[in-house]
Amino acid sequence: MIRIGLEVHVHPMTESKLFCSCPTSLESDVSMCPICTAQPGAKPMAPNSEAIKKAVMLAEALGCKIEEKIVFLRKHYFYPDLPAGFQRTSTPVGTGGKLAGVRIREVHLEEDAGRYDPRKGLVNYSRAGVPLVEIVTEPDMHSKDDVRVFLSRLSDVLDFLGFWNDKVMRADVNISVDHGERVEVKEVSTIKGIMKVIELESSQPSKERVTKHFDEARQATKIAREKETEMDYRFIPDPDIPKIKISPTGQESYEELFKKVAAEIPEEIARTILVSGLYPAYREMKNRMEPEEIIEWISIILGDLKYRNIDPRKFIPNPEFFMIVDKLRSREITRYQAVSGFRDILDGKQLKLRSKKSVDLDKVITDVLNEEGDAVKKYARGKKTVIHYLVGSVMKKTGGSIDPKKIERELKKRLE
Amino acid sequence: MQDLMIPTKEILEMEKDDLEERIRYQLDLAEKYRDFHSFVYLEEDPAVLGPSLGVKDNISVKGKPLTSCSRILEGYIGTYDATAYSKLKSDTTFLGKTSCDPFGCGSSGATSDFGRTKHPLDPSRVPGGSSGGNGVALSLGIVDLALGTDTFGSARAPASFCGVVGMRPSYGLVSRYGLLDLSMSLDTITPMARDVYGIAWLLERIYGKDEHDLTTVDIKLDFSQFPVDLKYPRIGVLTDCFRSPVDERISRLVEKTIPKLDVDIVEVEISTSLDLLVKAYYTIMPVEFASSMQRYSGFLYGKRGKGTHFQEIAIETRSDLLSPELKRRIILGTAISTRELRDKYYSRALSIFSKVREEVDKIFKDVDFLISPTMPVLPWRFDEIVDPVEIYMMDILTGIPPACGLPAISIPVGSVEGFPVGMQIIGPRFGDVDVLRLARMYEEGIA
Amino acid sequence: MVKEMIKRAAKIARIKLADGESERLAVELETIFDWIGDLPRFETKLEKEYVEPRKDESTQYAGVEEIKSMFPKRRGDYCRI
Repeated sequence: MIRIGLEVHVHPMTESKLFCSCPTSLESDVSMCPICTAQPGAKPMAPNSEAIKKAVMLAEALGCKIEEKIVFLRKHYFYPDLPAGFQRTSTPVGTGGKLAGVRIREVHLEEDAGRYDPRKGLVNYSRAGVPLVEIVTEPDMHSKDDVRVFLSRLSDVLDFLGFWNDKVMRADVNISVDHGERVEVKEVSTIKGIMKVIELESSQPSKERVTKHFDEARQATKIAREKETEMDYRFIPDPDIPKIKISPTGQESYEELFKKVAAEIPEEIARTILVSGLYPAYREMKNRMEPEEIIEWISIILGDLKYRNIDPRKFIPNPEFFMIVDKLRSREITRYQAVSGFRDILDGKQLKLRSKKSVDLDKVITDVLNEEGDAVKKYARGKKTVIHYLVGSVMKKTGGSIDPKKIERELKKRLE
Repeated sequence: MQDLMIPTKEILEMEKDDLEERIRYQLDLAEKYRDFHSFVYLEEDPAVLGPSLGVKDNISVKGKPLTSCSRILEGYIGTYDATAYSKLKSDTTFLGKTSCDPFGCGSSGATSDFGRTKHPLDPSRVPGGSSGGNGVALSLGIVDLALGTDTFGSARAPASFCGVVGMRPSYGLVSRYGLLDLSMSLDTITPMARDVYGIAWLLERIYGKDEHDLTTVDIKLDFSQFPVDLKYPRIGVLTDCFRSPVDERISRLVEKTIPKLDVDIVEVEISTSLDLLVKAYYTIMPVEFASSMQRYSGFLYGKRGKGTHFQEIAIETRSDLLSPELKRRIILGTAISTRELRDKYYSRALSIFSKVREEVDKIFKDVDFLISPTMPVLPWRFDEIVDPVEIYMMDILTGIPPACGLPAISIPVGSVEGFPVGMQIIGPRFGDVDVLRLARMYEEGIA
Repeated sequence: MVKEMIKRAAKIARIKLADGESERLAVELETIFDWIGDLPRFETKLEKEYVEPRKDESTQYAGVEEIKSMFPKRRGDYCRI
């Protein structure tokens, strides 16, 4: 039997680094200061409140119990991407959670290191000091599929919380086969890599505890230089950082929430709602709309929010929105009108909804045919595509209150 | 030429022309006394903005060499100003970086990798450390003010040996941002001068909460009280501080000095022996020091040793460029912080500090100050004391303030065999202004 | 036993002890360990303070060039091995 545990590292989205105010822009912008490059004499600033908040929320969303305080420790080792020769890492923020059937041992915060390219022999320190949240699982996974499901669910949770924006997951993979010793493969940065590592290390039991690295290019694991038994990080509480009080934010566990929503609406939609950040909006909608209506509106909403770069979490349906929903339900307006009305709400424009009953279509078509003499001639000569232009003109005059297909039918009748 | 050793107050009130003349003269003195190695970097054309200031080389000044007197940082230039220095730079004349024991590691003040610092009265003897350069420069009149550091006595020892004043502020009062770490929970940046007025002037400017040092405390001190006398202060006298291994002549001199003012004297004791306190220090400090020295691998800054692979470079750099005392402390600290040994040494040492703190807190309910000699011996000859443990024991009188976070000042109170002797006044936490007040009273009372 | 511990600690600390130095340092450290001796354990505990986390705002540090200029070997924004 194969037992797999993961230590997953993800970046919480923040403006600045964990212990200094350098920007966390992860592109090639140079982001350095005396603190994150551990210049002689430099000392940490107070830890980033947003990083702490996101770590706590994640722990809660994973069903963990939240601690009362955290302390930062120094984890010592020598490596080119680690300016201070130690990494600051916190005691657990939360413990004892569960996700996709896998127990979560703990969640904590730590600093990321710089980017080291061993082949080029270069290090860039812009990433040094960027906050990382680490999720440590028990070895409750037993196959590649288990791991895939877990990571996919974790990704959903992170999306649901608006936790990250780079969608990067790095993992240390711990594998033991039958009664063999544990093999740890550090810093695997792709899902494909994780799958490969599992393949490579699950064939036979290991005789001793071993630490390995994964070479992405060669898709192979190799033993680390320093033996596991020799590695002692000599953890000490960081004397430069007092302890930090933390408390629960009230964030519900994702799986509990998912269960609730999936009881009200089909699972796939439930997942879309949660993962896209529409849960707050959904809460408003579910009491006033039928599931089928919600399903129909979700794709409209998401598309338009995305187009306007609006965070779905910030979208709260207002009375105007529900008025459009009601009017569409009672067929007072067309779907086209409903959608454009919704867009007007998002753009902060005045709603102009004209009920389709008040429009005399025949009269409008007559007016348009009189005004657009050239177009009519073109149509007569065989250029049939000009019908769309004419439909557009009619729609302009009717404020879009009539179904364009109907307009097209009536126009064709008159033009023939 | 004006008298060199005038009171600091008068120097601070000088007209710009006189000040410029004084600074020029002091630069000449620096040249003249070059052999004493009090400076590791001398400013060629300083901007005259106030009294001359020497900054110990383990404190970062932007654009100026920063080596902490260790070869491992040879060629390194400070990339930012230490907070304490930034608060002084527009009111002082930066004269240069003063020499010290590398990374503050030493009580002799004479072990800089770049030259041996010598006692101002006898160049065959140590000046006291680790802020030896400051002690010498102040004593010889090369500078009028100085910024040093004190971890377990590093500002008070040279003050005592060189006959000047050095004060260790309450822990958390002055920002450590820009101070190259020795032992983070014990380090302080310290004002040094030839008289108490100079200390007060410096401290008033450099103290304060700093977002770059999370151990600083938000507290307001009342310096308006400074030159005001205290009425009948109660002086606690720790009997252990006046007997062997403290030189009898030093004890007697300090014992005679205390009653020169109208004070109440109370004999006090603590159950923790002074040498146990020193042992606890040499257990805790190496752990913190080994941690703070992890960044010196020649990779990101400083001198780089040979090698093509990172681990090789780290080994070459550290093995080649760290002086013996640094290696001793790093290896000791690394060993003590391993899984196997931390319980036997590190956590016990921390508990010893807590115990002393508890006992001293109790004592301060009954007294206003503790007074003792600063150093147990007179300045020794260079090769007279070389055994590390013997040198560690020089810290025996200066350990209570760091272990308890208390302020302590050393003022000159006389001499033995022609060498200055310092008396240490310890106050309650954040009682820094009262310590200055009492120190000034003694200063006046002795004159 | 102390000698083994010292050797291991030196290795962890990336300090190579030259031949003569190795012996001498081992002796000195043995002396120091002996001098420290058995430390008693007391029950009192030091209460540490709390710190408030910091607002999440960013500023570009103005002295990046100075920091880069201190890289012993450099290629643009990168530090070279």
